[in-house]
Amino acid sequence: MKNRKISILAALLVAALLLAACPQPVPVAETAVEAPASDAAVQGGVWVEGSSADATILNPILASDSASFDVLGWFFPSLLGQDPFSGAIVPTEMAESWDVSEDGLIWTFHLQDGVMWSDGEQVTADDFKFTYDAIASDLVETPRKANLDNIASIDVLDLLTIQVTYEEVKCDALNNLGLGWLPSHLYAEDFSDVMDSPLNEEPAVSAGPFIFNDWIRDDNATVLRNETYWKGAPNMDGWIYKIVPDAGARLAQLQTGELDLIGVQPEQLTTVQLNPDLNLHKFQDDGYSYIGLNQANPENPQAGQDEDGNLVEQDPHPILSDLAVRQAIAHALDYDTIIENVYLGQGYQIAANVLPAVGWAHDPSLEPYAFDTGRAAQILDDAGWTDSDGDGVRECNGCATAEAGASLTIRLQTNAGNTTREDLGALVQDQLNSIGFDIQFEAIEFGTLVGELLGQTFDMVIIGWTGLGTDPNDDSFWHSKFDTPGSGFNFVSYQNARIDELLEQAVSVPGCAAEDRAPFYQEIQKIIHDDIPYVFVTGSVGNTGYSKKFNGTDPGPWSFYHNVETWSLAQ
Amino acid sequence: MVRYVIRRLLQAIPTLLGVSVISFVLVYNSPGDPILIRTFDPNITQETREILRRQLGLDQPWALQYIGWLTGVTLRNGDVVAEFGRQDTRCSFAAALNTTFCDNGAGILRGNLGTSIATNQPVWERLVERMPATFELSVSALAVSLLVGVPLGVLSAVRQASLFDGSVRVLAVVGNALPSFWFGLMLIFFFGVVLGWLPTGGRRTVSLTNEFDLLDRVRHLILPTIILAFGGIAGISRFMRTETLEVIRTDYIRMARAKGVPANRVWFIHALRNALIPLMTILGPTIFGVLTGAVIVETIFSWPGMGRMTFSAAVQRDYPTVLGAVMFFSLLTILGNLLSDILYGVVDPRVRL
Amino acid sequence: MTVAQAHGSTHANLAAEPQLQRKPRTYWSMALHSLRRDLVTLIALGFLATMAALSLLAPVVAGAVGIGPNDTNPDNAFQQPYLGPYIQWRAGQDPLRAPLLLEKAGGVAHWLGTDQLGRDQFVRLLYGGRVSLGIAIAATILILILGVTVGTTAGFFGGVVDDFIMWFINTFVSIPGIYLLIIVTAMFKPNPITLTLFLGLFGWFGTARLIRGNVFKVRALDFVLAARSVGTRNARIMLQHVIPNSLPIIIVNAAIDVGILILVESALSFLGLGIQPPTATWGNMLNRANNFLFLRDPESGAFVALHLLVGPGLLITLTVLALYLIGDGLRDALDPMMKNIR
Repeated sequence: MKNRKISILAALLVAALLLAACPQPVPVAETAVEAPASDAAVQGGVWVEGSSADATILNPILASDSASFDVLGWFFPSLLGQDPFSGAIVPTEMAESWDVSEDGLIWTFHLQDGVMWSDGEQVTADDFKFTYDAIASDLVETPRKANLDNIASIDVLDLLTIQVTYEEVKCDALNNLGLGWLPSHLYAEDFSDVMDSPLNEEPAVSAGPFIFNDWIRDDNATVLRNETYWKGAPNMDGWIYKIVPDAGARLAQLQTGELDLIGVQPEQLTTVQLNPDLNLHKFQDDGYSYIGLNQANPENPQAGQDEDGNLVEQDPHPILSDLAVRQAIAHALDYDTIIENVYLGQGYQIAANVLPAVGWAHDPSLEPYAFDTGRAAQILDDAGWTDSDGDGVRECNGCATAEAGASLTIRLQTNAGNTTREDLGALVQDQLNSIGFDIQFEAIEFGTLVGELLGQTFDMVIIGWTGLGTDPNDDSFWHSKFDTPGSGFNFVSYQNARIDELLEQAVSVPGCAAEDRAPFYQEIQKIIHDDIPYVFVTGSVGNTGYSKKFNGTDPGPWSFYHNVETWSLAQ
Repeated sequence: MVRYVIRRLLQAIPTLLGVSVISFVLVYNSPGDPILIRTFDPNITQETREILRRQLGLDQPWALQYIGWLTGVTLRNGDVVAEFGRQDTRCSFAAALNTTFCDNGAGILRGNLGTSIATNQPVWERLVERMPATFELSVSALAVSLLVGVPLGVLSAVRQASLFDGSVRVLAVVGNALPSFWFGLMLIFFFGVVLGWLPTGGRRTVSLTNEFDLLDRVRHLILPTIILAFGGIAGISRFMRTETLEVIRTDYIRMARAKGVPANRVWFIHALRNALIPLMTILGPTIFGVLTGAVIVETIFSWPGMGRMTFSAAVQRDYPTVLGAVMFFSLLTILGNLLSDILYGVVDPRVRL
Repeated sequence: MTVAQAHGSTHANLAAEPQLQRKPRTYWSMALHSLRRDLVTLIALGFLATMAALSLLAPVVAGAVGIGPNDTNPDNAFQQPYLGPYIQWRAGQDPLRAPLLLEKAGGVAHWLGTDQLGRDQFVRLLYGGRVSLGIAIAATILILILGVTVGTTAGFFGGVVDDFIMWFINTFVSIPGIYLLIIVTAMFKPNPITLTLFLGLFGWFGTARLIRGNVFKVRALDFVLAARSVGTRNARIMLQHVIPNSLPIIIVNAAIDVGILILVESALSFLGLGIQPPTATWGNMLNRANNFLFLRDPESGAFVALHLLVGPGLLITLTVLALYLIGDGLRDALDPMMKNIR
């Protein structure tokens, strides 16, 4: 008897939060690029990538964990390509070119001709439409349904032309069209088998550089060269995704040659650097670590907006709603030391929410908060937080937000098992306590932490964002409509009508030109920097260690394998 | 004999029921929401979460969920046949009770452990996939434990309080006293990385064909077996030492010694044979301990076994997988104990079943 | 003759039989006598006592060194142990390194070096010992209380009470303990108190079964029958005869349980389910140090964090080893029958 319930999917962010060091797509690199292979390509060879987690499902619209995409990314064609070095959307995949209507609502994509599934069927506009119709179908349960928001219709003009009509202009709308396409000729027309198809575990056909071969769960997945790949068959025989849960064991296997590529933890860097057989690819990742400061009272979480979209006044946090306290925290942390000792040099200080990698939107004139304990103490003194009983902890003596006599006691939480954040927490606790805070630091289990975060019952939390992508739109962190206890990602209950307005305007600028959008984001950064809903700790840096087995590797921050078909075995 | 086995099997039923209630209550009343963990992504709407939660039945009170897990039958207020009825789930609406009854064909009473939330596979299939790996490791660890532990234990009993006895005692406990995750990583470091003699993890050398290669398999087994067997050797040698000491002071051994039978013959023929019998009683639990105690070894050595799967399912709040695995392990324990009791009866005629 | 004396003398007679020329000695003095000759056990006991004392005195020692367990000093991370250079300095071999280390550490002597945040490894080890040993011992006490009470009750009363208790125990025992703990600790937030409770509440089943079996044996002995026949109340029989007779087995088990629990704590830490930082335990210190196994100095290529592995690894191993050896030694010492075979 078969009982297949719906599949629910581990989100990209979860994977990223849990496993801070998978080789992920990303911006800006500083890599020692090898001399390109000069002679004729050598056939053969296998590349083995080490991963801490296994894929869960090999269907591009049902999967959402990064491990699944690592494997299924080889098989399914997608509409839009991404420049491996800048992250910009480029016509290198199925869409050869596209036109936009004057009002910016109708997008017409012209597809590559002659791209074939490995069973000989042509990849056409029908596959694209089938995939997005499947997501819309009631028979398919997938968290990807949000990809359809704002899409009015998808029309197939002919086999090689797709027309997408939007309801309103959204400057980051193209991001929703990036999903892999299902081979429509292998699925039932009414989508009834999408959830249960054996293809979800053994994809039969591929239009990418490799064809599925074998998958032994929690052990390895193997793929073979696709002789009919439209960009040219790879020289290597195949690629293996090997599951090695322990980080130390992964490094050991990289050194012995059992693995060819791993994400390198900061404490493992020197070992990789000192090994003459290994390369290191270092890049700025599209994420950052921060300390979130809950602006609202954790005893009384409220939504940021009522049903009509009006702002709801929040019950303020007794301590953290005081801007002076937030400023004191921002000044009390020794960022250089944190980056040097906790992140072992793998980070860089940032001033606000837009990373320098998004060059056109980033405001380089904003100065990050400076480490200055004297100033932090002064701010607290001035704001009425003084230590009147001499126990080393300040109390409220005329402060703005708390009851008189309340001590400066704040909980600080992070997810257990992330050793970097645990170290950061210990350091933050020590540094803040030295200027009169009483920080109660604890690392708690991830699932429980997620509950406290979204439930908005925390005080301060150390966490991070990854996978932010190339568009600076991050309204889900700041807009009051996402301050919804239990589900919204503005869990710090940040509320600022001006920010709401700016975020909305920045994504609906007619024409979406970078220079028109930039001023909005610069103002947003300024306000976020001044209001300190987050204390920004460091921008993320990723490190990938890999073997010198193949010539022609040219890793970009957004893709390690973008030119995999040209790699050739080193002699 | 047959009646004994039947009686024991019948006794197992209330035990398994108890296991199901305890584990279900523990798992379902724990903090952490399986839906939130999977949808911690700004792009996923609250509506989607509610739909997922409803589809999985997680919006129900836990007592109803328990019944659903046990029998595969779920009930809901109102007429929701259209929402929940699908190919594999038959629903019918009882208007008199204003309740919809759905039968999804699962339920552990029917031997169906349900479907994993994380991978959408049947839980049973997930367990079966990993069984060979776990079995392989357990058998090899157990064999080594017995082959080394029994002689060590007997010898140290025979030479009680000698230097040999002391060293065996110390060595056996040292093996048990080392934190296995630390010891394992040290072994990987020295034998794998520094010396390069043995593979550092996994069940086989991965290749595009994954062909079976006995020698390769054995090489991969060595390090994890050493770690697991250390514990077994310590336990078995200590047990054999005590048992042998007890047998040695029985009258018939004294008699044999008094008659002038050579010491070695007495100890290794008469004493060993009798000391082995009680070993049967701990063999069941030992097999089982090796089978389930391997979570850490499986993690360090990237061994795709059942222990690691259950652990990661617990962390991911994959309730059906955790519960299915616990039920399966419980059944194994009960059968293992029964088997060792039966064996005990077979080898020792004094024990009547 | 009271019932209690009857019990004591039964043993004395039994034990004295083969050595009639000596004056009869009690069971416990004999055990002590045999323990005194068991060097391995004595060393183990000494080690354990030292560890326990050091852990108890952790705040005093920390005060003497002048630094707390969670005091960070990031500028002085991964300092190598001060002990070696100090000895060399004292011996006049290397007049430079020790003063330099001391200066860099702001005058604090980090005898066993510092960790990634510049925290003193020695002080953390002592505080870690408090938590690790404390949890293991407290949980063992809980295990003993529950195990002995339930086991004695089941064994003494038998019948329906026994059936019910055994069903309960069998049910829990057939759920593999490590999974029970993993489920519970993965899903609830462990701190020293809750972890002690979990370990205690899920750890007593084996002890209870053992005690029950022993009670069955003891119950049938002559002096218990005698006590019953003169109308002694159940509770009194249990407290005066049954439990004291099970005491050797209880003590032996307790020693081994403490050892096992220290290992369980470290294993849970490895899985990320143990006591969470910044609270130091041997388990989470060792687990964190494991991550730094491959950390090397970029210029010299030397491994810089190996000293972090040695401390907690050695302490866990030696403490557990000591406890096992004590358990073994006690078993031999407390078993009067063992004396006969030499």
